[in-house]
Amino acid sequence: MPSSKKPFSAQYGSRLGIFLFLLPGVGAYTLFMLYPSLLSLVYSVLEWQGGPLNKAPFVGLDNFLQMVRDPYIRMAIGNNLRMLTLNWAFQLPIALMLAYLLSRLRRGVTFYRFVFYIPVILPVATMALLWRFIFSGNTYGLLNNILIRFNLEDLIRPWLSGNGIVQWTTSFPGAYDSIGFFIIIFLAGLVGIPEEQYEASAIDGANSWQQFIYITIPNMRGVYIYAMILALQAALGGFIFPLLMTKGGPLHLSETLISYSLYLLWEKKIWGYGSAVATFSFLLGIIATALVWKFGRRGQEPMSY
Amino acid sequence: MNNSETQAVKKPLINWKREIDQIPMHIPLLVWSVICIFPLIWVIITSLKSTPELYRDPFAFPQALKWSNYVEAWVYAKMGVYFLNSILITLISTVLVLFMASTSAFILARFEFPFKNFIWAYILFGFLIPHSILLIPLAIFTRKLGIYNSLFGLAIIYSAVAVPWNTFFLRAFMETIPKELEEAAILDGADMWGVFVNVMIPLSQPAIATLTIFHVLFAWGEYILALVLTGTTASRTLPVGISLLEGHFTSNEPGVAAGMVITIIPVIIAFAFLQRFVIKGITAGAIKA
Repeated sequence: MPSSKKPFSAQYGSRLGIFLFLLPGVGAYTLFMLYPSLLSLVYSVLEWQGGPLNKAPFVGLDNFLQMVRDPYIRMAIGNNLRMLTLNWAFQLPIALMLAYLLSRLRRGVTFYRFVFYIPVILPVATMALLWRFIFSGNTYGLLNNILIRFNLEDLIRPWLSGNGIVQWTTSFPGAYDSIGFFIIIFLAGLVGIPEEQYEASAIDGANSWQQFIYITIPNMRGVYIYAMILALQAALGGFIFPLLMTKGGPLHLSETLISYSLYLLWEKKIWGYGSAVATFSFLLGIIATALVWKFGRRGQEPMSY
Repeated sequence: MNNSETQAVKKPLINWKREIDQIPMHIPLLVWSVICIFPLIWVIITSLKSTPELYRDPFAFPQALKWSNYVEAWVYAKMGVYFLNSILITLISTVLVLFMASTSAFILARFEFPFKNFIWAYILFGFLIPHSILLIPLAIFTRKLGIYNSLFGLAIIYSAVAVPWNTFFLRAFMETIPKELEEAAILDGADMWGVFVNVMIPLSQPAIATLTIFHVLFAWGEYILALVLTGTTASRTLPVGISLLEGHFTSNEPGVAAGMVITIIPVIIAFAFLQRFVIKGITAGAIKA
């Protein structure tokens, strides 16, 4: 708002100066982000297995049509949807509840906030190794050891190789990982809720849970939709834990769209098709984001999860 | 603080009830704290064990602390080299991105010029671009430019991909800065650069501190671009190094754990010191909204 009128600033801003100030940021972004992303779109309509680019034949949308017939694509989309399920049904609700508790807390907020953020700041490559220790089938596998201690040997499964299991064990870490991040986002939103609403309800005898349902959730709608979009994008573009925990295996069972595209690009050297898979994932993310945005704005009731 | 103290004087009964109400709230918070910290503590303990000790009982404490695991990780698994590389890349790319984003944000926050809205939308478009679609083009393109497998090349790319978010954040902050100081500087004869360096940058310090910690965490932990754009020990970063650890250590899991601790400790320390800037940034954002 305050930026709409600035007669004074205009006095010292020369066109050349403006250009020179914009150049480093806009230039680097154009060169190393925008331009490569456009190249990726170009690659995805070529049949290209390495070699000189100008000899790669143009195949139009063939790469995208091939994806329809590729069973691994369906498996990969399934895993991205598993990630989405965990992010929306587990990650965000947990984060919102913890953030809510923090916002009502009088002592220890700084401590909790620090501790909750730790999984977010740890390098994902390190976290992935940790999850391999947790799910390992070796004698030191943490999860199995815990199950044995509680006499739950029956629940032991081949966590990182079983069909129907590995898809979830590689999807879960991403959901767990970012909870601290969403706690901070939600906390910032919760701070904006007028305190009078809570005080009035407390006088009426509402407990914490009722306050959460009737005051917090309706007020947090906008922030929650924003968080849903971030979680959606993380799920549809997710690949890092499957890649580092199982390399998308066994037999591509835990592959996501992006980890599969990385497999095509680096192991199979099918660069055209691999780029098409990555592009598809990118477009899918944009379309889904637009849908959530539209749906979220239209619905009258508070977003349910 | 003041507010709650006066409340305590006015209606002590309600306040006591509230204090007791707080206790059950700590239970889930403490449970989640354990879930967040336990893995960390486990890795640290494991990194000081011998392999047989780990295999016998993964939750037991070691008989004697086996510090040699760290020597093995640091020297033989080359984590020391990766560590220095990561520090360099983090430092260079943080300085670069702050420079690139603050110059752009200054212009977008303070000046009117043709195509301003187009340039703004053009930068924001970067929010939509996932790093995964940049990999093949960048792998080819950086080789052409001669910055493939170089620390500086990777640092430039880390800062370039962070320009949209950092510019967005800084512009929003700079627009809240009152113009009086700027006007005073101009009356004193400052030019654009003078205003930028002497007025805008110092006043933007809270936002810059927040962005610094976020970028440091990003650059320290980034994996996939580093994997694709580096090829040798000389330029690999810690996250790539750690993914190669298991190849170095067959059946020496404590050595792997030691390598993991090496990647973890710096971020924990940095975050412990800089956490208040994250909170400051978020609080500033909340007040604005």
